[in-house]
Amino acid sequence: MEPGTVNRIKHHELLESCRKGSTEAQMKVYRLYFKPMYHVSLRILGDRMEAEDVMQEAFLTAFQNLGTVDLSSSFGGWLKRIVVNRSLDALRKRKDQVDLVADVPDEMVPEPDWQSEEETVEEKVSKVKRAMQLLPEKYRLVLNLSLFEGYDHDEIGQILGVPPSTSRAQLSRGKQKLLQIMAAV
Amino acid sequence: MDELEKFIRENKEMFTNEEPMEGHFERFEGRLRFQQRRNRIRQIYRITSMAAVGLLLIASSIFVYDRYFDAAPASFRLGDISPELQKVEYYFTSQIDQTTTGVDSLSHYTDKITKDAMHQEIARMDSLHTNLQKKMGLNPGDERIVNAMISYYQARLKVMQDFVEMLNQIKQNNNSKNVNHENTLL
Repeated sequence: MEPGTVNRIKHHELLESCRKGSTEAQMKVYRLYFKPMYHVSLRILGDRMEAEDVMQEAFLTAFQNLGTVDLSSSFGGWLKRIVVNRSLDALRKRKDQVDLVADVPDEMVPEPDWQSEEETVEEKVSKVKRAMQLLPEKYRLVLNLSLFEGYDHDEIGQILGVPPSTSRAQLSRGKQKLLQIMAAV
Repeated sequence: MDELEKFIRENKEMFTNEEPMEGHFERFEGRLRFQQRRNRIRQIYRITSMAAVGLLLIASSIFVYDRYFDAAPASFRLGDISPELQKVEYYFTSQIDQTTTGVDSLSHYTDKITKDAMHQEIARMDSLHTNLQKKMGLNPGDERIVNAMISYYQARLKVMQDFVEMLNQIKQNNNSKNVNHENTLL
């Protein structure tokens, strides 16, 4: 997650300047990280304006709390966690409460074939993106956190406040559902 | 790993090609500046509130109703009581003067709202000082008031030193911003 162009020491110094309140340094850090953080939020919220607002709010929170964290550990990972939590809060506010343990039929249907040989990678990506938007929220969240953000089930369980087994089950069902949608669209 | 998972992981970059809406840098910079102003005001209140707790205790124990209070002389000083207290007073007033000069010379590095908040707190402390001098004029040599005046000087000096430190930090941040700007122009 740490940008390869900025070496570790310079990056540490930059964060130290942010901690001291340098707007210049804070803007630099924003420029380095805004894109991946924006996507984390956008994938959860699905709304560009709200995603920007939440992402920027997360940066402000991070700068405000830099004094409380060990700057030698991954700043990007910590920031991403703030973005995820803030985005989930916004989602909960918007939709009352995201129900992750809702009833889901247990039976598994055979995996439909979603990849056609004539399709380009771009077309397939676009298909997956469209299908993700149509996916029920409870699946979309777990799929995003697992496949895109790289969290394991213990971490997802912590983030969403559910047991890891629920996260595992939702991921499996979510993938199935996604494949079904993709085969249909 | 199934086909779908493999496909997403291998083409992750292609899923992240959207940018926030135009103007997001400016919007964020605006939010940053707003937050910094708010933080400075908070810092000023944090600095003075530490002193205020002690000074409030002084005020509540010393400033009971006194019918002659308003007519009391405002110029009575610790130094009028004894040469030892004169030395103590000289030490504090010279240190406070020095830090006040520091605050004055550095305050242009900050914005008007921060400056106003700082001056408001300084004026509050000045007013307490005037009242302590009056009280001392009415009760010269009262040990409680002498101790209160010394506590006041200690608190006032600490507040001024903290203000100087805060302003120096702002100056340093401004300077590094200018250096970076010049480097960009070069």
